[in-house]
Amino acid sequence: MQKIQQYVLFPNHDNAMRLYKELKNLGVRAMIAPTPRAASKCCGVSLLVEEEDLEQIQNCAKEHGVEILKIAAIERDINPMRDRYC
Amino acid sequence: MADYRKMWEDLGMDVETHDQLCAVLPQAFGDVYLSQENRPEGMDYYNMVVADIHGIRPAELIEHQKKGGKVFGTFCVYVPDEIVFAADAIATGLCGGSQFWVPGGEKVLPTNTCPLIKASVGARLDRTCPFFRIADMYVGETTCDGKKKAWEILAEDVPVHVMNLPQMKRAKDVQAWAEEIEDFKKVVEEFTGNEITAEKLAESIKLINAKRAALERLYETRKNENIPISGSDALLISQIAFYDDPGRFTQMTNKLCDELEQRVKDGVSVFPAGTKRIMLTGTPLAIPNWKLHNIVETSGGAVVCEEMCTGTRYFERQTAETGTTVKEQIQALAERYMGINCACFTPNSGRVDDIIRLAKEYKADGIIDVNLKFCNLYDTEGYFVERAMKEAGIPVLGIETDYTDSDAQQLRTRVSAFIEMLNK
Repeated sequence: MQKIQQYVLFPNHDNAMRLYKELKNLGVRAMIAPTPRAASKCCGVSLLVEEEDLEQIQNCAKEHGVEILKIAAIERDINPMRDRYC
Repeated sequence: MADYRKMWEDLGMDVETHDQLCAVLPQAFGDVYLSQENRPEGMDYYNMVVADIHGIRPAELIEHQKKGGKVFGTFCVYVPDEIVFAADAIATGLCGGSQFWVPGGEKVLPTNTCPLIKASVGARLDRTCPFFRIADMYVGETTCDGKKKAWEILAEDVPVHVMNLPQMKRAKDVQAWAEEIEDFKKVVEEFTGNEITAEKLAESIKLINAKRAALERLYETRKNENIPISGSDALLISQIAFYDDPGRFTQMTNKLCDELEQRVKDGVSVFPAGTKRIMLTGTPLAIPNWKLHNIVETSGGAVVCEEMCTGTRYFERQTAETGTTVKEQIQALAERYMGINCACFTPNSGRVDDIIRLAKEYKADGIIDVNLKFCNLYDTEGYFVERAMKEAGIPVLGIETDYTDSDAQQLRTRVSAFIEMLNK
C-alpha cells in the first residue's frame, strides 16, 4: 500500500513561509514543496507534513493568523527512477 | 498556492499551453529532489523558489518595472550583470532547460540547433515563460553561430543588444571586450535613463562578487570526503543563481553553507561511504534540466563538481574591487570575464587545465563530458578534453544528450557501466 502524504496548501507563498517558520521554531517537521497536481491545478508553494502533526499545525496556523487553503491527502508518488523530466 | 493566472494573462502569455509545464514540474521535482534522503534543511529555500518559479520572482520583477525600473534578460556567463545592477536595473537569466519549449523554437530554427537555443527562442515566441515576457531588453552574445542567428529572430519581437565576444584571448582581445562592456554600459544607461557612476559600479561589483563567493563556498564543501549535499541540489542552486535577487540569494546560500560546514565537521554525508565521485564537464544545464545528475546519483555515483556555465565557470575568480574610476572598473570586469574558458575560444587549452585542476581538487574518480546535441563547439572540443583526461589517467565518459526523456534508459546503462568500471 502506498504511503499517504499530507500537503498543506495556502492562498499565497507568504502564508506558507510564515507557517513554515513557526513550525521550524516548534520543531515540527515540514518540507517546502511544489503543490502536486493531484492536490490543486495551480502551481505554487505547499508544505509537506506528517499526518500525526496535523492538529498541531492547524493550531499553529490559527495562533499566528496563517491562512490555510486546504490540507490534501495524496498518495505518495515519488520515484527517482521514473525518468520523466520536464 | 497563489493564483498567478491574471499576472500571466497581463503579460500576454499563452496560459493554457503554459499550464502543461505547471502540470509536470511538481512530479519531476518530487522524483529528483523530494526523493532524496537527509537533504540539508537549507534546501527548503530553493524548493520554494522552484515551487513558485513562474510566480514569486516574476512578480518582483513586475513590481520593479512599475517603479520605473528595467529588466534585462541574459543568456550567458560572459554578460556582466554588474553593469545592469549599477544602473538600478535587474538582470535575469533566460536560458531554457526544458523540452517543453523546444518545439516552439523548431518552428523558426533548424532542428539541428542545440536544445538550449531552441528552448529559449520557443519560450519567447510561444509566450510560455513569464521571464521571457517581462524582460524589457535581451542581451545576447556571440558565443556560437546558433545564438547569433537566434538573436536576429528574437530581435524582430523584442529589443536585443548583442555583445561581440572576442574568440581569442590575446591582450588586444581583452581590450576589445573592455570596449564592448563600455558600449554595453552606454546602452544600459540610455535604456534605463540612469547614469552608471564609479560608486554605483563599485557597489554592484561587490554585490556580484558576494554571490560568486557564496557559490564558491558551497562548492568548497563538496570537496570533502563526506559530501554534505547532493550534486542535484548543488545544480539547482547554480541554476537559481541566474534568476534570483542576488542579495537574497547570497544570504540564503551562505546560510545553507553554515549548515553544510557543520555537516562536514560532524562527518555527515548524503552518500554512502565509497560512492564514486563524478565530475561533469561540458555545456550548461539550464533549469529544469536535472536529467543527468539524477541518473548519476541514482546509479551509484555522486556528482561533486560541474565544470560548466551552471557551475564553476559562473563563479570562479572575483572581479578586482580596487578600481576607483569607471574605466578601471570596466578593465577589471573585462579581465575577469575573459578568464572564463568557453569552447567558443581558440585555442582553449585553459579549459583542459581547469578540468584537470578541478578533478584533483574535488577528488573525482571519473569525469563525464556531457554535451547538448548539436553543440558543435563543445562536441569538437571533447576530442581534446577526453584525450587529456586519458593522458592524466582520469577515466572519462563522453555523452551527448538533449532535453527529451527518450535516451534516459540508454544513459542509465552507460552511466551505470562507467561507475561499475570505476568500482573495479
